[in-house]
Amino acid sequence: MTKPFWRSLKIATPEHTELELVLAGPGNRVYALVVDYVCLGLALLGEAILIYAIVVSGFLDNFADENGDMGGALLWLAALSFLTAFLIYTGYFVFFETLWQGQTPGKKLAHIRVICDDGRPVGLQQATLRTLLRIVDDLLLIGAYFVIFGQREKRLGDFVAGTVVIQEAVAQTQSIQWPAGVEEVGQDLLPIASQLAPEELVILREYVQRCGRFRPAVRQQLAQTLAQQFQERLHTWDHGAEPDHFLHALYWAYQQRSVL
Amino acid sequence: MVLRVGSPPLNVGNILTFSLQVYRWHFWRYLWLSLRAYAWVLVPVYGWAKYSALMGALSRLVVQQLRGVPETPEQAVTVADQKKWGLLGAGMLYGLVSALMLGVMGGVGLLLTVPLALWWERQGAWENPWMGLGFGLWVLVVAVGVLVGWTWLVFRWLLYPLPLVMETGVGPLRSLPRSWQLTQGSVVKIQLVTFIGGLLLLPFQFPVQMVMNMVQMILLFFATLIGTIITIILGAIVEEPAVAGVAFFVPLLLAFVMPALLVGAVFAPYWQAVLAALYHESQCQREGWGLVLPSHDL
Repeated sequence: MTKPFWRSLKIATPEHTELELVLAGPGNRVYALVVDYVCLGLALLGEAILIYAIVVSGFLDNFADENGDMGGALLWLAALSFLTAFLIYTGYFVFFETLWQGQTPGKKLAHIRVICDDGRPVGLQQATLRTLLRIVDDLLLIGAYFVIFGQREKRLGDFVAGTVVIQEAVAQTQSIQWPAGVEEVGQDLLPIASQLAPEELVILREYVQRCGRFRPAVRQQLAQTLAQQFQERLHTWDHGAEPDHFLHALYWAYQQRSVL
Repeated sequence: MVLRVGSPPLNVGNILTFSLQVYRWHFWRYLWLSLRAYAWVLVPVYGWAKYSALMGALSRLVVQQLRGVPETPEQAVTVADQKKWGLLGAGMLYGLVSALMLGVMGGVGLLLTVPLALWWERQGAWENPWMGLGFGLWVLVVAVGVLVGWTWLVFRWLLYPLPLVMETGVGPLRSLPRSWQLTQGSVVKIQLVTFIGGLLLLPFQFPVQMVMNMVQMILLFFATLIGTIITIILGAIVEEPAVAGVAFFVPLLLAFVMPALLVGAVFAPYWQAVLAALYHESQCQREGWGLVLPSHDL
């Protein structure tokens, strides 16, 4: 019944170990694309305003021909603005993907990254190829079909450049809010903290990391249940501490053990 | 699938990817439920309650999938069907509150723009073309502001069907506050998910729309044909042109409504999956769902 909701990619490293990376997925790809196109739109808007200012300022009068006709100058300006727009469009993706090792502002926000098929970071060549084919991919949504239905989620640009887009591991270490005086309770728990089974530890860590966002009533209830279960399993009885306090102290004690 | 440590977090993009995938794996099952739901829409009141129940069943299926305890569609439908009137009531309440909010926010939007326009009118400020451009931009800003502000409030209640189908002891009146509780601090996420989720559907929208247009053409042809026949027969029996005319338009109306319902039915499971993923993620984030010590029994 368990089917893979997340497509992944196995990469053999030169050290003969296998890396399994989770592919970005259509959701993240669209999210990144929307953010990038908003940024691009703002940049192009800036260019449009600049060109409007040039036309309005009368700067073009300097380029009028002998009859005072500015048609030629306007044509040149139009050509230049098209070229600039193209350069902004391609330059945006090439610049960021090269500079930030496969990330653009949108990809950063969506926690995804472009890498080469063999796991190396992308360079100028891959970024350029991806970007040049982007026009084909985004037009008529061709790339979208490839990403949604392809086993490796490669759009045409990815095929040509030999790249894939993967998810970045988001740092799980949210800062833990230690309650005051956690060390005192924790000192007593030092000997028993090492008895925690790995799966129990996972639950404890999840609680300590996530409890800051819980609703107060839920937090109290959950802490009570968990603390009671932990106390029963570790054969330690009431230390007079609040359940939430006890759980934090237990995790603190575990951390001290692992440091020693 | 259980969200274990190490599997990707359900952020904006992953919620959408998950919703696509879960629909894809269970395409025919979910589509069948959805088609049944949209067929019920044609029946007033009782059918709408059935519709709400089947939609609730769809999202329940996905939540159970996320929790790693998959159910069969029949099981989910049985649970949701008991709550059908609650679901309909809550849905109507939600619609009412949303409409009210839209009225209030829209009113604020009008207050921010119309008096200004009238005042400038009296000053004769419209002579200046820059004023027109500036006012246009201001209207745009206000319109976007109203939309964002409205969704800011209304999306807090968006998860209302899920407490009803997932939790015991939640009635229609309790389900909206419950959704409000769950969505605290994640309203921007819900806005992003709806907006980007809609864009993600674009590649499917085009082919589906194309097929539906063809279906509509065929339906319209037959509707006209059947309508004409019925009109002629009725005209011969009742000899009342008005009745015969109504009989002509009923098949025509169906020919217009049915493709729209079909399009809705094709995309509904995706949106129900999105709701389910949002609910599950909120429960994990806000209520520590799944923080249970593994069973001690050996």
